[in-house]
Amino acid sequence: MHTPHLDSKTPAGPLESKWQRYCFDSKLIAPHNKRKYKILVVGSGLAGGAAAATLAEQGYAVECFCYQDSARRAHSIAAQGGINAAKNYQGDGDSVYRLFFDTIKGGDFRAREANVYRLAEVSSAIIDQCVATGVPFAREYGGLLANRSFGGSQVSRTFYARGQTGQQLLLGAYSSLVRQIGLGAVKMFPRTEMLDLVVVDGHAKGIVVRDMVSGKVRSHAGDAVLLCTGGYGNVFFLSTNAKGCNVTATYRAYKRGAYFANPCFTQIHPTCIPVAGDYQSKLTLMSESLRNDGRVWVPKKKEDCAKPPAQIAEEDRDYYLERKYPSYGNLAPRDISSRSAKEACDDGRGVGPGGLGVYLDFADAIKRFGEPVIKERYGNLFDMYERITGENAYKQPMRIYPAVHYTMGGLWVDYNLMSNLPGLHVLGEANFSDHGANRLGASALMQGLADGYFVIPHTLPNYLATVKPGTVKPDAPEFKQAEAEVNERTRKLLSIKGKRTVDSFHRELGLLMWDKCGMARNEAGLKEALKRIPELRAEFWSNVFVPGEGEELNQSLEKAGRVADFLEFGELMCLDALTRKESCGGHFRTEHQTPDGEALRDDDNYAFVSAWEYVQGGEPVLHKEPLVYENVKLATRSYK
Amino acid sequence: MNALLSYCRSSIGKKTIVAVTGLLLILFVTGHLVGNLQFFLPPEWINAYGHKLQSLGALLWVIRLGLLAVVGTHILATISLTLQNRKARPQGYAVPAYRASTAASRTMIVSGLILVCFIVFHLLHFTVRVVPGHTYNEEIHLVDGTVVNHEIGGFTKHWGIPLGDVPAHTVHNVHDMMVAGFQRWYISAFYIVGMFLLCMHLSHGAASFVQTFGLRSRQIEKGLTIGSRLFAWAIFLGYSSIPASVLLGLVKATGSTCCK
Amino acid sequence: MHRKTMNFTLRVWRQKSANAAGRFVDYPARNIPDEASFLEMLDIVNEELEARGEEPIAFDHDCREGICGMCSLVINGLAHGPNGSHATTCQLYMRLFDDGSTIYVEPFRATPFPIIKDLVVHRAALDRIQQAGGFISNRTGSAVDANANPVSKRDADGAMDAAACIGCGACVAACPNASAMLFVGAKVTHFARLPQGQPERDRRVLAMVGQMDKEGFGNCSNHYECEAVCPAEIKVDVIAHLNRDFDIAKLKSATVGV
Repeated sequence: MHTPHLDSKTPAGPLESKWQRYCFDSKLIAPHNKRKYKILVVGSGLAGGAAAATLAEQGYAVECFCYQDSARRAHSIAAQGGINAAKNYQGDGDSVYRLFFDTIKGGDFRAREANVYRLAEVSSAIIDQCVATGVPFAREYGGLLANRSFGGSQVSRTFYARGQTGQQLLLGAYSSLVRQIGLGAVKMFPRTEMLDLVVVDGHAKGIVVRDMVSGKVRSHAGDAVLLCTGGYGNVFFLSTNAKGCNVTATYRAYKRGAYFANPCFTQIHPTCIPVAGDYQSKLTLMSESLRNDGRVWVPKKKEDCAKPPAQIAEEDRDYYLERKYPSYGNLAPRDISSRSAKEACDDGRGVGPGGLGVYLDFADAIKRFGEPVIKERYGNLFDMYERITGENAYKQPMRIYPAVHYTMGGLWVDYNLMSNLPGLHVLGEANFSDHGANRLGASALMQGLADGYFVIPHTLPNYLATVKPGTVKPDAPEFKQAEAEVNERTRKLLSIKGKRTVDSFHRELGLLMWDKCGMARNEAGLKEALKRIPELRAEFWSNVFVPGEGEELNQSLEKAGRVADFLEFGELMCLDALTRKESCGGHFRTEHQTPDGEALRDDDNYAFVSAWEYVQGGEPVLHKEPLVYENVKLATRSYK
Repeated sequence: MNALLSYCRSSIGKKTIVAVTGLLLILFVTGHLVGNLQFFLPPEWINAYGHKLQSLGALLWVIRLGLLAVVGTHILATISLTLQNRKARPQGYAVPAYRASTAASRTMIVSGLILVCFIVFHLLHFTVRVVPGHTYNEEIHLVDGTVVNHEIGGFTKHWGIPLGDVPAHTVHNVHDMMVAGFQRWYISAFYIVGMFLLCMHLSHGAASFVQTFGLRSRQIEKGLTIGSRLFAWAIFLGYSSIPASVLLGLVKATGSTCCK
Repeated sequence: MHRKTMNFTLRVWRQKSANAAGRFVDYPARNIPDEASFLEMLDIVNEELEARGEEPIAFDHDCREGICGMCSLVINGLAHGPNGSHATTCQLYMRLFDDGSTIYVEPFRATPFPIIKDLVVHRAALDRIQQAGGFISNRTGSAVDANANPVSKRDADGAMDAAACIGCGACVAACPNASAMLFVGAKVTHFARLPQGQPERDRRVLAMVGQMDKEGFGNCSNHYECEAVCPAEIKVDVIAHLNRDFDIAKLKSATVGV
């Protein structure tokens, strides 16, 4: 299929030297010209914060936007485990190539080789950069950096700052960002939400935002727009994402012509605290590291499920991960452990409220090492578990259940991190590029910072060099048009005055998505969802109640706008899931599995990136970017 | 000079001023107590002590004015800090709740300002000696018409320091003055209440200056808190013991013939 | 399945906008599951308000897992509420409250934290303090190898203890003087304990304290309420550290220059 738009612009030459050559061949902008270019950065997480700080430092005029009250609160802050880098400080045989290979294999061979290699290549500089900005990574007594190992790799390459690595990395980027704000090089707009992208003559030239305090809608024009707005996990309502995380920025860009890639690739994290009731607003992740010492099990017999775990005899317990994956056991990768938990629960053997939970049992570990050792290793997690559930995990097994955690899909970008819309660049979780169909632990932080600190500062000038700075002003008709549309939408939302709350729609959509497009999908379910979502959307637009006014702080209105977009986006996700008739990574189609229930990939027909083009009033159009593997051999992932 | 001024205007600078003056006052209060506790020794001790202080002359005034300046600075700085604090939190919470602070720490400005009143009374009472209703007939008459050099009631030295000339025929009978001064229960009660406020003030202040100087740490945190409280109670018990013992009749006036 | 529900009366601070007068309004919170978090309880109350066509209570929140620092609230006089362990409002659970009790819910109160609406306040003052000097100036890509400068575990751990601050501002809310010293102390200590932070150490502390004073925060008088409510368990040691560093930096600026 010929899709001229989908040129990945991957540089030619051997994999190992592509990026170096690219940098060497890049166009440069003269220092005195840089300040003439205005860059709009939407989002202030690892990708956005690092990009805004670095571009400002290089001399560009940067404006940065976030919906939180401070740039420091972006949801990158919640990442616990760590960040990978091919430093090989442990001397255990790590290398850029090994990190590249682990990442591409972990992604079930659905990522672009050159992007992933570049990610592995710059990973080392990220650690240097972070240490220089004062990130207090864990150290050994000798003063050198400590490492831990993480799922999906056999080397120890994960750098960490206690269980708060994301927080510390974000605060590092934030400190660089505030320095630039103080210097006047970045204008920061907190409590500001992007509601539309403005495209002028085919180029992204600005955004329309709503000041969430005053409610005023206004336009910002720039010479390039960087979307660093994270993932769309909240389409499921319940996820480990922050409540404010949303798809609006990327979805609006999609509606303005940017392609949305692989939206069905979502990651379900296996170790979360189960849902306790329908009032619940959010799911809490507990570090995967718990699986190092905890054993996962469910009762063998359905009738045992209601019994207290201590009363279930050893021979009546099914340690299903150890049984199915003897070599990896409880440390099987995220997608596989999540799916196994779901299977056990679908089989009626789940435990806890609603039967949606499995045990993570530390009794053996406590017997072996003693409670103090377990406390030392996981004390804060046990405390958190007790705070939330009121249960003491030293005395009884934890209950865990998978939850939506990360989205691998996102806006389609080329090697430059530029979407098919010239000028629109997409960084971090918001783009689709590096994790394929499944992300390995400790790789999200790496990608966000790689994109922000090291990739975009080199690739953006290649675009900027092709445009004259400052040609479009916020009073251009395209801006006025977009502003009018945003205002009209707000007016409409406020004027419906229906009977149902925004959250009730969001919950219903979330449940539907979880059932039909969650851990396991099939044609019938997806088709059902594709029928139900438009109905729900229609009801939303006729029966939602949004109180208050537009020109004030109005949290219901903010939510309504986001849910309205989720109600469209959910359909795109299901469509993508329906179209991809194979199982890979986080996308498991029940029709495509091996006899023993493992994911069955179809490399002959589906080794491509699905990039969806929005069509006004019609079905989205699928464009395919073939994934060409010149260096790695496609293989079946096996963790048996 | 500019640097000093800007330091004094900063939040931490002002706090340091409070801490430095507070520390000086702690030293004074401690020294003053040690001097006063001679009350329980034979009267010659405290009388000689009083005489010694009186005979410092100009130096005494330097010390007095110095103390006054220290107290004044301490008060001005704390009032300025308190006004800023009130401005930073004009509206309090409907149901205030506390976890770590103490009644003492939250009432520093109150205990401090009442202590100022106490100091004024104390000075009027025992230094200026003008409190109405009191007779100050507590002078000791030394041997008639004889100038006794280098000696008060057989004392030639006080705390190892020679007394020097005793120029007058009489010295002030500090001991009996104190007994007389504390005979009235309400005066004693006022002193004891005053000392309780001082105790509260010190229980917070004596640990606080260490923090303000930047010397507190997790390692000494417990010891510091306990230590400052013990110190404050010791000051309270020490000072209060004087009026209490007078009220209980444990110490009696010696009369002016004691030194004959 | 076992589900205990509870009832409360909420006495909530409602304030239409920054300049409007505020007041307490009572709302019943009925049939609240005891496993619900405080914010989920507010969600339930808000859903009921919306169902009745009333405006919901505005409050800040985002990650709901205790790390982003967005949620605030003073509950029954305590910043982040009566949590036994150090945690944010989003990690406060209703089972800690007495069934049938009246719960006061107020915004963080401090002049530098002006109220925007109901329980939502501006905390940009904290950002401005950090803008003044809470960073290490280094150009992206110019860093030396991360292991080039060893850092003792003691210093790395000490820096991490301070760096754990989530910037929620509860220290300011809890301080009877509305002082921001714990926040500023945490930032200053974090950088001061690392070798990378040394070149700008004096300038940093002077600039940050200067900005802190300009913002109109109160002064630390060592109540230590901040430490008691801090969800990140920042210790008041960082304030001692701040005092020390500030004095030294001032002395240096008056003599040899910083």
